[in-house]
Amino acid sequence: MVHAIETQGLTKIYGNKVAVADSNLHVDDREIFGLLGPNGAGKTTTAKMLATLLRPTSGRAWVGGFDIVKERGKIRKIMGYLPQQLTSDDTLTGYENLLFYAKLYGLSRELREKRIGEALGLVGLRDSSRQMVGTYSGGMKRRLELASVLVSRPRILFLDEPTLGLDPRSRRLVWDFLKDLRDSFETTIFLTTNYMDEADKLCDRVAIIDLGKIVVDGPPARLKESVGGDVIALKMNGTQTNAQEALKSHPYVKHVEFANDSARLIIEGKSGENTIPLVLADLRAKGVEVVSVTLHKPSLDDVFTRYTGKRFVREVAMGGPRRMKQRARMLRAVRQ
Amino acid sequence: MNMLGQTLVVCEKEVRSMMHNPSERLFRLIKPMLWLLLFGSVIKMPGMTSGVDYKQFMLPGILIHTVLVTAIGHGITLKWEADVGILSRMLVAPIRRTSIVLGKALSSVAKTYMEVGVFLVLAWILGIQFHCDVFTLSFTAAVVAIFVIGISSLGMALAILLRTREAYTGVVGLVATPSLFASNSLYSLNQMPQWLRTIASVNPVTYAVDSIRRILTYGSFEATPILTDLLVTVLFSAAILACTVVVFRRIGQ
Repeated sequence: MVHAIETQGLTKIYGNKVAVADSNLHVDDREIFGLLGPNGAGKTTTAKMLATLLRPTSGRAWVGGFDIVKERGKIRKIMGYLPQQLTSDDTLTGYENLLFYAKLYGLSRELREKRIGEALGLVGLRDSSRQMVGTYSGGMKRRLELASVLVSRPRILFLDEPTLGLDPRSRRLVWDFLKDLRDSFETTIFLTTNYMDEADKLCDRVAIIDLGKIVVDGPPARLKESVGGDVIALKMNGTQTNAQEALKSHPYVKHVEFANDSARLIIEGKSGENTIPLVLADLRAKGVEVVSVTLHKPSLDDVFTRYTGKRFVREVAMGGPRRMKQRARMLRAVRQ
Repeated sequence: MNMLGQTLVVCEKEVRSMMHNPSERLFRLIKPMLWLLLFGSVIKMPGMTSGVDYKQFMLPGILIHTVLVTAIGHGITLKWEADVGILSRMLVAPIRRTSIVLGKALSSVAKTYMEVGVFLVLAWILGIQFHCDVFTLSFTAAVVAIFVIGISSLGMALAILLRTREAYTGVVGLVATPSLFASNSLYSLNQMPQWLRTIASVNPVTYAVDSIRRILTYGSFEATPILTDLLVTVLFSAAILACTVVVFRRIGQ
């Protein structure tokens, strides 16, 4: 079967800087796929190459079965792309923005009006569609962009940092929207993100990219499993020997580390939440009093650390879009 | 959708955006009007303007300079679109890049037409005489359109090629003002020292101004010089337009 997206040794080199190195990945139809990595890891470059905006230095890739270099025209007909910035045009109304994209994708007049009306309703902008986009909030602008995707209805959608700088409520709206898009229109979604929770909660499959290289990929749950099970940390009153005895033969405790009055239990075969009551009961039976319990579930953060040997340090996202907005405002002033 | 359709879509977007704020364009006319009023009132060049008042003589020069500044400034709109990602979305849409360039150049023509219209009305109110009939005005409109397509394409190419907005504004400054002085906009070529005349005679502004001046100011229909002027203007604009299309096609390559 042909994958919705496939790359083979895809590489982009700027001067002597390798932005994307020998990327091999594939995305299936109707999948929400996330490329997760810190800033400068090569996420945007990968998205731009796949969206036919940038020519690769070497390697090949196919979108919808079409070659990203030789068949760009065919890809453009079935693809949508939203860059990192808020691309809605401030100097037009919301409706006019959608009208522009509808026309750009060659929709007939009837289809145009029908889809624009539907899209505006779906993203909750019907009442503000005649207002200038300059008066919209950041969240509204992002929703307007998503509406423009609904208007052209691409088979494959590329999104570069779709929720960067949005408030938690807007982020959730975007996630729900993308899931609905996949469910209703069978859209394949490729997104880049540096939010762990976005990759975890939204994506069916995630690839972690660092310094231009894809280090690991798979469904979030499986990636997290691969770095080990849940960890229960206990603080106890009572003798260690009793505790050791209680935990030694426990069926779900794979490994125990003791340090003074505390213990770290690595759990396997059952979730941490479900193991805690069993462990506590066993300890009480041996006369060990437990003072506190902490449960640590492996996150994609742990996955990142495990495969790159580094902590995932994400730049504070707020600096980015605010600077961007300032710049846009400045340019607008100059433009007038 | 064919290329014409695509071109019109791109053009329509910019025209709509302009219609939301028409007054901004009219403020741009203050400067050229000051030129005409202040500069034109002081300077007297008897014998050099072939029997017309100096203000009448400089009217086509100021007109072309005004549309040049507006048209080359189109690049700043493009730079803004590139910064906010609108350009990227247009580049990955299923349309030809030629349509993007043509559509934007066409919208630049629409912008300048609005200015030219108001400019001529103001000149008329100020009592600056020019030949005003359907043919003269259509001819002027045609020359402005051809010239503006070339100059706005130049602005767009510069906007893509120059990385920063500062570099762009700098280069545009280097184009706009010298092209006014090193041309026949404010004085006739035979008043110039030889070196300046040489520069002026390769300046496309000279040809656009000359053709409009012959028709609009003097009401002359001498075919050979007018056709020469037109030919030079067309070739200039076509060459720049072609280069700009190449620049656009190379984005991301």
